Amino acid sequence: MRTATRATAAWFFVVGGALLLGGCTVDPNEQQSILAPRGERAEAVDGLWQLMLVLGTAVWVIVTAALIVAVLRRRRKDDQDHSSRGPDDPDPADGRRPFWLIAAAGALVPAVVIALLTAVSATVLRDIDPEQETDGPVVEVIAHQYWWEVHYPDYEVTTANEIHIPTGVKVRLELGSADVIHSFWVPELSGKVDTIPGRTNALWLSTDEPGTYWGQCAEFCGLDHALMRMLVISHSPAEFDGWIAAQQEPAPRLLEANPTESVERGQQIFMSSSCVYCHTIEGTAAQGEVGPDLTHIASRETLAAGILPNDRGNLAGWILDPQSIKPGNQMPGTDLDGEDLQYLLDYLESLE
Amino acid sequence: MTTDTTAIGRARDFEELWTNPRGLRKLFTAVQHKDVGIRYMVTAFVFFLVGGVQALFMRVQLARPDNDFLGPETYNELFTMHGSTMMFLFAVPFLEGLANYLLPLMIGARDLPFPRANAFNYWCYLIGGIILYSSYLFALVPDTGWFAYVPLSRDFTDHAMDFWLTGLTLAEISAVGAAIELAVAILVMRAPGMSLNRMPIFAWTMLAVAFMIIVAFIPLIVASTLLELDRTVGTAFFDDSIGGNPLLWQHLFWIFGHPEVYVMFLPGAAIISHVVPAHSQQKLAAYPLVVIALASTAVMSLGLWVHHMYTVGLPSITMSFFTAASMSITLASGLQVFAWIVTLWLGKPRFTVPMLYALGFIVTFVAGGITGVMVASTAFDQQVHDTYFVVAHFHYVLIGGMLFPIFAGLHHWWGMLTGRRYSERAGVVAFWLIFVGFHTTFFPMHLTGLWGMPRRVFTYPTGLGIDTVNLLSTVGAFVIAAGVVVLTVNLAHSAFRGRPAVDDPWQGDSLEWTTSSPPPSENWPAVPIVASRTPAWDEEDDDPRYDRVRTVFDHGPTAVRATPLTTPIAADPDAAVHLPGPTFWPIVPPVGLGLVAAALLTEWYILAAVGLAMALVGFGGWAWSNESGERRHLHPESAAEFEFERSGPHAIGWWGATFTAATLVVGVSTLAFSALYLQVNAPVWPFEETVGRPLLFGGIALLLILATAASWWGRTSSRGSGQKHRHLLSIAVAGAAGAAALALVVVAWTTSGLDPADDAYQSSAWVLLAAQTVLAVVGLSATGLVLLGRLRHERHSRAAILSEYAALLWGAVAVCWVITWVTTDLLPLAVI
Amino acid sequence: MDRLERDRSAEEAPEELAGGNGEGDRSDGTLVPLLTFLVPIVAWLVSLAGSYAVQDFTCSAASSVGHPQPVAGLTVVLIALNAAMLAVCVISAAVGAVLLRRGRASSGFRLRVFLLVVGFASSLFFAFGVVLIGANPLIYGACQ
Repeated sequence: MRTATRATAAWFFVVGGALLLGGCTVDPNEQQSILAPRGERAEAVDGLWQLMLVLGTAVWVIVTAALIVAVLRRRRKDDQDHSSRGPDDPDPADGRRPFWLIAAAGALVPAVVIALLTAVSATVLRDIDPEQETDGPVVEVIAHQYWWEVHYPDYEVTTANEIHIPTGVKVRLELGSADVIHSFWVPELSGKVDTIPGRTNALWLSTDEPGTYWGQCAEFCGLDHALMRMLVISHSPAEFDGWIAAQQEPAPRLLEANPTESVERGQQIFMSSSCVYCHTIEGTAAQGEVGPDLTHIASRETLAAGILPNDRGNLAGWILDPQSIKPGNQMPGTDLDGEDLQYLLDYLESLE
Repeated sequence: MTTDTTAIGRARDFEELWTNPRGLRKLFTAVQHKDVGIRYMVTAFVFFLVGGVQALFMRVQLARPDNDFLGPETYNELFTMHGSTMMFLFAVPFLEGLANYLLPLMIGARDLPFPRANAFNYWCYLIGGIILYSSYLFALVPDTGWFAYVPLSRDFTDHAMDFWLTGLTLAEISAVGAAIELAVAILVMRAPGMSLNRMPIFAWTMLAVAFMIIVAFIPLIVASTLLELDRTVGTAFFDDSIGGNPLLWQHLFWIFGHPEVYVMFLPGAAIISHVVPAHSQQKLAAYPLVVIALASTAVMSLGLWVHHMYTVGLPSITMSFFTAASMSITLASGLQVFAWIVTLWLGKPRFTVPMLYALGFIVTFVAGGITGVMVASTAFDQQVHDTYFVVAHFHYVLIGGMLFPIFAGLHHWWGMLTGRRYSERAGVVAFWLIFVGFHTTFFPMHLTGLWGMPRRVFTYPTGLGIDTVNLLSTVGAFVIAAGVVVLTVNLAHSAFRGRPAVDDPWQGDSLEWTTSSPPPSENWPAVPIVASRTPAWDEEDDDPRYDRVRTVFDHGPTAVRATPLTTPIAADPDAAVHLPGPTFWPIVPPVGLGLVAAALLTEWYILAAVGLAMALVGFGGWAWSNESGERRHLHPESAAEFEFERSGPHAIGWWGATFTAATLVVGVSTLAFSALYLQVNAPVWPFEETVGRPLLFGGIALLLILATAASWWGRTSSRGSGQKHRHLLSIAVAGAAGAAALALVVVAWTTSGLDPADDAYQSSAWVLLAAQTVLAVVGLSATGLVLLGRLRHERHSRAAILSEYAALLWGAVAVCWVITWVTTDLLPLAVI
Repeated sequence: MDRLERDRSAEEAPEELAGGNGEGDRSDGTLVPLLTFLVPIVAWLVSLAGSYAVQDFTCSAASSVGHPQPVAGLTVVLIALNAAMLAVCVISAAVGAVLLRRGRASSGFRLRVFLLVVGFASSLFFAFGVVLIGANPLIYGACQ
């Protein structure tokens, strides 16, 4: 039994140490870590987390130490004391000292800590209130099973699964849903906000440095909930303006700038196939609204809501058999022959 | 005849009275608390093992990134079933089973107050579980999570969610029934002398838990019904396009869901409050503070639900109200933790298996409590909500705070449950496997979450840097599994082959250790008299004021099974409870209800008629047998002093009726809250015009008041010759008024031009009127019982108390009607 | 004082308590102690449910029909509500403390002392809870 006790104590220290270390170390592969905040909102929360981590660890260590001492102080061997019933001393447990000790350690001291934490937490929440005045562009994000539709109403730009923002300003996001409840979460920049049918929720993002930040749907939304990621890309204001200008170009103008035969064949294939029922390419007859807008698909970094790098091979695989990559999504497979597929890819890759 | 032979004869009669059938017949007819308790625990443990296997499958899938061991469909089914099973089919029923078994022993009663209702609850639970799991037979396994958020769960593609809704609703009804059962037992069936300040912590806790279940489970039953109506009838409660609101589901679900957490944790803590004193031979320190802690936990748990909704876009101030509540509740846990530590400090702890689990519980639960404080902060929770950080947090609280105590309790009371001893060595091995496995599994999950892994994902990419922590969790899960296997084999083997247990292996302090292990059918041949908080450590009270109760309930009464009834605060004996013997009636209605559910799921509606008929026959037969047999000649030697049929709160029936009335009012209030919530969130309300039939509605109100008044008038039992006529007249008036009210409610329901599929206002009014129809039938059934009681018995007291209960129920129906009327007609005018 | 006298006489004659009639519960002086336990519970529930319902329903109702939100009035209502509930908890604690002090002097009927201790401590507990809830309108705007 004695060894067992020692093992208990050892284990407590291992866990406690791991808790401390865990809070401080960061895995180098991190893509969406709360512990590596890059935006104002996430940084405010990170400060709160560090305060709570320190307080929490202290509380746990104190309680555990008290417990270990209490247990080891007067422990009995298994084989003795079987005859005695009850405490030797009449009722020390009913005395006033244990009572006040428990009241102090269990409620009075915690009350002070709790009041402090509540106040700090409330201040942080007020500082990052989502309805604050913002000075940057407004972005509408509409979540779908299982991708993100992104509008810039001020600029009449539509894209998908990628949100480009300028640095140095607060960008207001207005979040809606086209079907079920999803949750918008870019851990390095901000806590999450749900997208709920019939309701528009707001959020603001701000970044100091240009960068790419991963996000992911955080509310279970059906079969492919795990495969619904997105990117937030922040640019310097000048770069952002350039990006907007490029996105505002309708597709035919791109074609005019670079008219090759294969791209034109590709466009014909696109327009004569079922693609047009679901996808929009601005400036053409394709005005479907079920799937993502493809006007500038080639400018995006990923395909299928952040799960594939946007390259020719992946694009081909996605077009031919999206159901094996992301089972249950709304896009049906196609049976294009090899040549047509190459033309189609040429066309899509021209849509920068 | 000498007194000796009288005493022997009395003892023999008494023993005969309490003898039960054995074997298969026992399985279906025994209704005593120990039998039902064991049934609950065995069934729940089987579900626990199933839920555990589901968790292992999930952990294998998550062992490495981009794994294709399971597809998303299977994975989603697994986490839905894992959560639902552990919450609804394991945790709550197991604790209810344990309470069923232990409570009467701890408070000195010979059984629970309504043993047949208790058996009925068990069968409802079992059939609910079978319905949920039968979804595997049809390959229609629910897959929208144990929280079943709308609109995902609302869209009708197949019957999968209907299995979830009907199965779990049956299980919840059983939980509410069990809660009423336990609450009444604790309030009025404690041993003489066990005043509130001497009540065991487990009894205080189950009283608090019963309160939470009654207030919190009803909203979920209502929510499930509304969702089922949305799915089948097409009502608009959760459809935002016609005035419904998906957030209504979240409110109702979490009004249930958060108290549910404490429904699981508080009994766990209570087990520890019994294990720690017994294994350190020291009274629990600061008992009043522990009582405050659990009472305030129960109250505050009702005010935490919004902290599950911190990300839905509520105003900051709204969320902050609930942050305040979530933070305050910490103090209650702090008090309990330090009460245990001080008890250990003052006592002489012994490292038995239950003690190891208790210590493991404290360190684990404290860690879970600390992360609980963290997620109570809105700002921080918005980051970690729906990530593995939360998964880690609640497994620390639930496995640490509920499963460890259950294992502590199983080892602590094993001798009492089975009369056998388990292997200490295997028990210690199992503990260390489970404890180490647990922390290996769940500690890394904090990091998994902080590094950005959301919950409920069937896979994850390598780029997040969470490969190692996930692998560690998977390894840990298998270590836990190994521990659970050792524990299960150890206990199962000992139950059949173990050495016989001694009666009181730990020199425990609470009352249950004063009887034998396992206890005899009647628990105590002589009902104990309690004089302290630790009755097993102190001499029995020889206070002369308990002389009569001591004499009457020493191997007696011998004519009918009975136990004393005491006052709620001071526990002075003032009446008696008549306890039923074995009967098969309680199994019939649940099977009928199960058939109705099966009919809805298979759309084979003839079966529904059969099921309904079966349920009605079951209830009818139950009522008939209740008013016959020994009850016809209820004149045991004790009846003069300890009456079976006293009026008011001196009979269990009054408490049962009051609690039932309360559940009805809570149910209708939930519907009213739903309608008001939709109203304030909808741009227009009502969409066209209100029901607006004041004459009809006023008439119904008057009729319901008349039925209440008439029943109340019939509650006297004077010996005069006119008494029987008075009863019959009261029954006639109450019955006629009630029937007329029912007819008019049906008229209001069917002729007000309400189309439930049109908009949310019409859906609410339609459902409120439908509910009122059901309530009127409940009232009429109560009046029917009064009639049955009047016709079957010569004595007046039976009809009198039944009439009183009918008055309570009719009163509740009248209150519900007022709520209905206010909701359909007044609120739309008063509130924008 | 009247009540206390009755209690003392009750202790001296415990047989009377045993009487077996339920009215004994009330007359043996447990009603007020029990109230010091139950009233703060109700006060806290009113504080939380009232704050939530008044605030959320008023703001939602106003914004769902496009009316301006009555922020100033709402703030006053919230502060008044919580101040009142805090007062209830504090009074309950005070009553408990006074009775406890006197009860100790009269050497204590255990059940009553137990209920007073529980009532007093839980009054303070819920007072703390009400303070945490009631402070919110001071930090945030009423519909923020």
